[in-house]
Amino acid sequence: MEILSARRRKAFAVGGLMLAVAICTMVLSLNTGTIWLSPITIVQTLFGFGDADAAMVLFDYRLPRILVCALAGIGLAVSGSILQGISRNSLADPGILGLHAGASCGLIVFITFFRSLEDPLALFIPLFTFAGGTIAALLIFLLAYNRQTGLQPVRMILVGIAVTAGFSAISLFFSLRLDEDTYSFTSRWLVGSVWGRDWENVYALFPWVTIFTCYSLWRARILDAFSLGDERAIGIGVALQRERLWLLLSAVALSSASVAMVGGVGFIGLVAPHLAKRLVGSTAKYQIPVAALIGLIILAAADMIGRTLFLPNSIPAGVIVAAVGAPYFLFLLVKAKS
Amino acid sequence: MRKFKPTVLTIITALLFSLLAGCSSSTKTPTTAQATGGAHTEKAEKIASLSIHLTNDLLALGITPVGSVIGGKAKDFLAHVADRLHNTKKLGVAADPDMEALLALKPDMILVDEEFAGQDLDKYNKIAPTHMFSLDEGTWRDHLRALGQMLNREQQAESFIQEYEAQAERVKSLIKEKTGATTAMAIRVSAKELRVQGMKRPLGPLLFEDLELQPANGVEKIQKAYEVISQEVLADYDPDLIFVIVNVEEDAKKVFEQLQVNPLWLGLRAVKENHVYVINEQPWLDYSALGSKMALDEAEKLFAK
Amino acid sequence: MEANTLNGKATSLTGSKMWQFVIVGLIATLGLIISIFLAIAYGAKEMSLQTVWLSIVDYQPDKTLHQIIHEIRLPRVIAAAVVGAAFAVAGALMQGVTRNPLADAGVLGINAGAAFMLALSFAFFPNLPYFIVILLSFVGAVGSTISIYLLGSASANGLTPVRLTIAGAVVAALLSSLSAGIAIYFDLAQDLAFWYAGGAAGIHWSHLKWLVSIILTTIIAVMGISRSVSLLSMDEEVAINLGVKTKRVQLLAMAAVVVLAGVSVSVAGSIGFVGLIIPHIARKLVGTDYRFIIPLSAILGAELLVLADWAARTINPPQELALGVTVALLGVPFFLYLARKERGR
Repeated sequence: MEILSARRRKAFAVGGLMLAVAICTMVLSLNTGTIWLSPITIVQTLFGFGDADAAMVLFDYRLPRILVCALAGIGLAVSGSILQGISRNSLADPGILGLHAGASCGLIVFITFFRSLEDPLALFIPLFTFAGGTIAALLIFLLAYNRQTGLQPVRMILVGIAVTAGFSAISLFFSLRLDEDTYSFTSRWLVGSVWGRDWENVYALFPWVTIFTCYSLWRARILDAFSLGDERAIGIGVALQRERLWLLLSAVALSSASVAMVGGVGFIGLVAPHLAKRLVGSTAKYQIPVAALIGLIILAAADMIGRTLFLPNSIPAGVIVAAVGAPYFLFLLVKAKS
Repeated sequence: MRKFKPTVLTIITALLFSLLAGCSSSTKTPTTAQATGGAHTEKAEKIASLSIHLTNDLLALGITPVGSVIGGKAKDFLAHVADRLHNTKKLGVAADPDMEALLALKPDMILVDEEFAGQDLDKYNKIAPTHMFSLDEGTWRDHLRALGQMLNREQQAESFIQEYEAQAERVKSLIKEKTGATTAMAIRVSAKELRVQGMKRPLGPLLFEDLELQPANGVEKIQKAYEVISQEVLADYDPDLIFVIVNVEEDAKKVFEQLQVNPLWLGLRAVKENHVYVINEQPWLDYSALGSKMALDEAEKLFAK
Repeated sequence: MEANTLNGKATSLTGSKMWQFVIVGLIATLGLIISIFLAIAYGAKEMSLQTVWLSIVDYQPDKTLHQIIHEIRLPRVIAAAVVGAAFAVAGALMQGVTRNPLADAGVLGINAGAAFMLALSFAFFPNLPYFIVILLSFVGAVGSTISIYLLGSASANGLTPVRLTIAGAVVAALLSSLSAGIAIYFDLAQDLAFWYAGGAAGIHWSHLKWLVSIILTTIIAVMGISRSVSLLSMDEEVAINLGVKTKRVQLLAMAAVVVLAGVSVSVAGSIGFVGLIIPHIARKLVGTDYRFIIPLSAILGAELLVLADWAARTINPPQELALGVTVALLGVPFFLYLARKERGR
């Protein structure tokens, strides 16, 4: 009991700290843009005392974008936590496993056949990314599933790499036929650039992220049971394969919804759960919320850096995340005992 | 595994629809600002343009916008008009304009291209009255006339168009005199591919309507901006006159140099008769009033010698 | 693999194996010749077989159709053949020395390293002469190979196939993300995509000089270490006992891989999966001896790419598909099949 409560205290302390950092990042991000607003103006405007222009800058341009970043960061991080839990593989990540490639392929197919990113047709984009992500997940599941042994973690990754290559080839095939302007949008989106920056995007993403994050927290004990190994998990009475399928599906839902808004940002799903594990241990009910906050911080910070540091051009957030996340992944790979 | 847990599926389906609904609401009410065009005449002094082509239509009317988007490739205003835009604020690239910079300008009027900005129309309208143009509808003459009407410069628009038509006649006869050509095609050489420019904007209308050249055999089938072709079928087009646009990239130039010593290229009728004309990406591919006029200026020099 | 028969298998050429190789090799060569002829004969421009034949035996430089064959199709088909051979041999070597059935220059991120350097050179030094660009992409290939190799082996358990594959995939993801960043910043995106997609279209006789001589020399040189590679591919300890200097063989083999893959990527773009599929087929046909596998892989690899390139330009003429895409669409199912089979190990 002593140990448990100490861990809990630590988790709350870390969680509080991360929350503070997350809020700081978002406030800092609110402060960056072409128009300079003093912190005082921002606070005034946030409480409804600013002038109309400042309000427009904050509420119409900056805040929705930051919130989309925040939600997508959470979505990707939680998706990664779930995937790592169910595959018992510390290297699992929605990007590496090919879910992003599937979702991206969905978007490219959409753009190729329906051309337009505006107009009423645009409302089908999330449908296509979700379909792509689901197909990728199904492929992984079918190919890595074995009647006797169930889902094999290592094979999930190998299959994921192949699925990624396959979907990327299809995406490439279609994207070469796009005209230059559409292509330049698509290429940014593919590496992860926050294009959803309206309130509508926030409203659209919010329920996905909250519901599936809550679902994963509700299933936290089952995720913990997975880490014991399949036999012992069955021993405890977990309906192993069924739980795994539903958790996998919610991971797909989280990542596809996020990818629909911010593009193929990789590595957050890997890095965030890992850092969380280092900070608060591997108990899912502590790890997931902390991972979510870390994911939020990473994506919000990467987006802020990408659009300010390289003016007048902006670098997609995904490139920044990859530049930091990939070395960390390799570091883990070297350290992993396997 | 055997049977789907209905709750999760229901949730996903419901959410999918909410996501769809969320995305749709952003596009539901594009207030057609075009109708309100007449209301803001003459007062509009500070105009911001979110299309490089509309910017050049404005310049043709003698109006310098206070802000304009820049070319995506050049990361700057298009080279042929850059000297006229010294005091114009850069508003980012057309596909991703800088809303805050636009707001900071406090323009009286905003011009947008439906292709890029259709979705954000109500955002623009919050900043200033916004006029949306679809560059795929009508020719630049229609856009110029519409702008002229909006800004009380109908006279300038008409005289610009008249001058252009006169110049087009001159160029037409110059081409006839110098080359005797009736059929023509334009190709664009980049590092990895060869494109034949089609009948649609940017180059089709200029060559095949304004200059009344006949599209080379097969070009009339390309009812879009361009088509990528294999070098093998280059000989099938075999026109009297070839315009070559070489991309600014260095390796594209190398490819063109290699093409020029290729026997296949040397076998083309236009090449043998020395009727190949290298033209610049800009202004030739800038489908706007000013761009087309400057292309004619260049053509006048090309065919004058 | 049967370690007990290993010694006999690898050190002496048993007669039946030899015959098997000769027969398979002859059939494969015949197949290659047929596919080269097909690829030369059919393209965006239709022409009669007689014209094709005449243009080869009796070339008349003033005929357009003859020019098409000489200036466009021949260089292109030769390039496809040589590049295919290079990728296949590179794959065979990698699979041999790392004992990793999933090794391939594309999967392992070597191509991504070459492409990354291409992106850098496009962005910062667009005027470089052709052979320096080749050299640079080659440096990129070396860099990513070394880092993947180090990362894959820098752990307590050493170089496991899976670890190497994962390290390669991540390095590839990182490098292509950075390439994309550079391409977007400098607005080279679609130019670079064409490199990624791969294709033998823009190749001229002047490039071929370099390409053919480098690749053929390397492949012939590699034959010198093929016996050691086959020993190494079965069991490292047995190989050491038989007097194979494993470190040196590994180093030489990886150097050859880098030369083959680096040069090919710089010319034809990143074409994955050739190096994965072909050595497996070769192994199915002639067993585990790399003295047979390497030449057969070269022939089969050449054949595959010649056919893929032919398909790429005849499926939807006069437009052309990307060669890398055509091959990847073939390669992915195969990779999945291998990944599924791997679980038995």
